[in-house]
Amino acid sequence: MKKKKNLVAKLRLGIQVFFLVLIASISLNHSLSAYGISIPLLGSASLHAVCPFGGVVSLYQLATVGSLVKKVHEASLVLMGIAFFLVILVGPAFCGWVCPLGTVEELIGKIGRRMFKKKYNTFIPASMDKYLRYLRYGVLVWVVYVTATTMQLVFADYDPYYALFNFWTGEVPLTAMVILALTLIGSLFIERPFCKYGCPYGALLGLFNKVRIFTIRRNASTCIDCKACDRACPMNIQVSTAGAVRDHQCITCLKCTSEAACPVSETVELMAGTFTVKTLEGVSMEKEGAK
Amino acid sequence: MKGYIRSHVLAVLVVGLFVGGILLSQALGWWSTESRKVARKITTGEFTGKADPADIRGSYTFADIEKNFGVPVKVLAQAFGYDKEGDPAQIRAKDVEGRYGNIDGKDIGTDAIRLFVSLYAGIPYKSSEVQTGILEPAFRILKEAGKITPEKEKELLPRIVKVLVGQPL
Repeated sequence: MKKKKNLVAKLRLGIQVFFLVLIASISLNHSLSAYGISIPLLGSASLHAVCPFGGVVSLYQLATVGSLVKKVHEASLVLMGIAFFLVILVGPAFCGWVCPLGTVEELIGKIGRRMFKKKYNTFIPASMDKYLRYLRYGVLVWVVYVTATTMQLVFADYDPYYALFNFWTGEVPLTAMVILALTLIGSLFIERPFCKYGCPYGALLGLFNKVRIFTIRRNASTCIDCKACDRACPMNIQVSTAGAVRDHQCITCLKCTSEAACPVSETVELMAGTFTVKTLEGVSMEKEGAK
Repeated sequence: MKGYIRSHVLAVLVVGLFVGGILLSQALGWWSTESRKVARKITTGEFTGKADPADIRGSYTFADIEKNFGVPVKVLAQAFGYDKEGDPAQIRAKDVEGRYGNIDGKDIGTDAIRLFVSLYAGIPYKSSEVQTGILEPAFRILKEAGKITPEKEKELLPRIVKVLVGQPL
């Protein structure tokens, strides 16, 4: 069983690394193209062209002026559409399975977890943390507003994702480099700090947790209340008290599920609909978790 | 009614949606990672329908600027010190920025090109950059071609940057 659980973790890590290497290679290729060199079979698009958030911040300008924000191209709109389809279906799997910055945060987090053991990811008091989690909505509103009013990709000056894949170019502003450094150092203490507190795209995708079709559900009738799901969640969500996880911070990483942390089969699942519970009379009933 | 999604299915879904979506958009001609280099049109006032110099981007080549604004590549090359280059049509606005940058507190880059194009083509452009400069050859071209009024000439004088064969003095 443990072997199977490791396979699940390895599968997600494999996909995360695939997207990380892909984006890093495209960005490197973009830099190399200025010298007439290119990696075969890879595009040399700029990082802005392959970021779905570029599509989001361009929507206002597209609707009012009919053009995209400078440096953003049609590919961003395509990726935005795919990410929206995915988030409506299964929640922010983009954050948990694709986003290369999230992957790097997680990889550094593995070092932090070894350093601090059980203390890792618990440094910020819950009373403060619950308010800090809404910071990213402030960032989202600010980014959308300034992009709409200036028609410039203002967030690039603060974006750790852009800094991570362009730090070698000399084009990254100091502000973005500082935020990247804080994110990477912070990842040693907190799991996915930028995702939790600063990411405007994560904030937007997180809202879809309220309406997604397939959601993480806990079967209260089989749950043994061991809290393994809570401990596994990188976003510190209390899965053990939820019927359906509708928390705006869920990233659909599946770490809490019966395929991974949960020791009881068919107890925490990514699913549509509700669990079926056998009653004493042998009648099957649909049951909505612990609610 | 219930339906589970297991991790391997989610993995296939995530990769499949992104790869499949990109391939489909390519087939439909929607996938573009580069600017089509068509400047935005002015939508109000006397100049409605004209290309807006404010939309000139760092990736625009002199050829793109000629196509959008009708300013000949040869004129641009002379104005920005590229007339001795092999193929000035391929010079990008950001190359100008890389060559000159900030000289004596005046910026010669993409915004300087917007300013020059606006004056040469007679399309209004209000620079948001207070430090935008204008190279001496560019100023001379505008003056000799009668593209600027004496008032505008006076206004531009403090912005002039002197250069010698594409290099700052």
